[in-house]
Amino acid sequence: MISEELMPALQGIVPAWIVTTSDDNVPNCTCISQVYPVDENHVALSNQFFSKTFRNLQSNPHAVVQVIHPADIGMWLLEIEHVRTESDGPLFDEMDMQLAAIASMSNMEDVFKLQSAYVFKVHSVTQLSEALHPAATL
Amino acid sequence: MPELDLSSFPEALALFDGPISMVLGSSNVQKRPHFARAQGVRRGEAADEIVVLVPDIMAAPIVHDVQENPNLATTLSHIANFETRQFVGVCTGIAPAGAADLALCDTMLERSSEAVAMFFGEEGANNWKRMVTRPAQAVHIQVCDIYDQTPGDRAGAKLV
Repeated sequence: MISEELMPALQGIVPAWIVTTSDDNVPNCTCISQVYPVDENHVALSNQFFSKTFRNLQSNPHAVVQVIHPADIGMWLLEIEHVRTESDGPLFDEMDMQLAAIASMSNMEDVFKLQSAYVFKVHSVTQLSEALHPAATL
Repeated sequence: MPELDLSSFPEALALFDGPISMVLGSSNVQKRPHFARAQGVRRGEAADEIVVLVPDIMAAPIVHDVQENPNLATTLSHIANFETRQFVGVCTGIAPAGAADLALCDTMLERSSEAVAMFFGEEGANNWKRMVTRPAQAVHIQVCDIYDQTPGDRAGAKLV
């Protein structure tokens, strides 16, 4: 499901977005630094400041994430479901290292601190090709 | 007389001028969230109203969801300094965007492209300009809550 074509959009170069929903059905949109490929059917998101997102995922594990390919601004939507949270171990360490690199690129070294890795099952991946004009038409 | 007057939040309204990245989130009756990238935002007629401009190509799930559940959230993030605010409220109407709103989308896209150029160069900016802005829907939202979502200690703080 997570193709090679999608991988550059998961490098954290362009910030991603996540939308979750609360128990009383109020959406919450927030920017995320890191959507990390775990395997072909799972991604992990860095939990840095996710107070409302975290609360929402406790009662409703469904979320949607948008990522952007850094080279051509191609947009992708991932429908995902929270399955577990990791606060240590190899995945956490790998994400911690990548987040440090992302923080360095954006001068946010003192701000971006990984608290935990939220692991999600990916239900669908959709490329939003129609959201961009073909390059040749500009 | 509405309870909330957006004029009391000049730092949030300053984001309306861009350069920003902005999204609109909705949720259907099964509590499944949906996402749309917005291309413009402005004050509405009421003191507590904003109007979010969403290209038709992205708007279908939002238009469907608000028929079942009027709750919406829109988040604006400054591309250069990451200052971020989320506005949460209820949809009070959706209509095709008029000429002035479509022109606003084009202006906002131009501003955000200039900011993108600082990070990704001219090629990145040109790619950013490829985002489709029209036709679009004007989504009217009566704002109930505003959150500071700038990365840092105050991320998630409720302002009202």
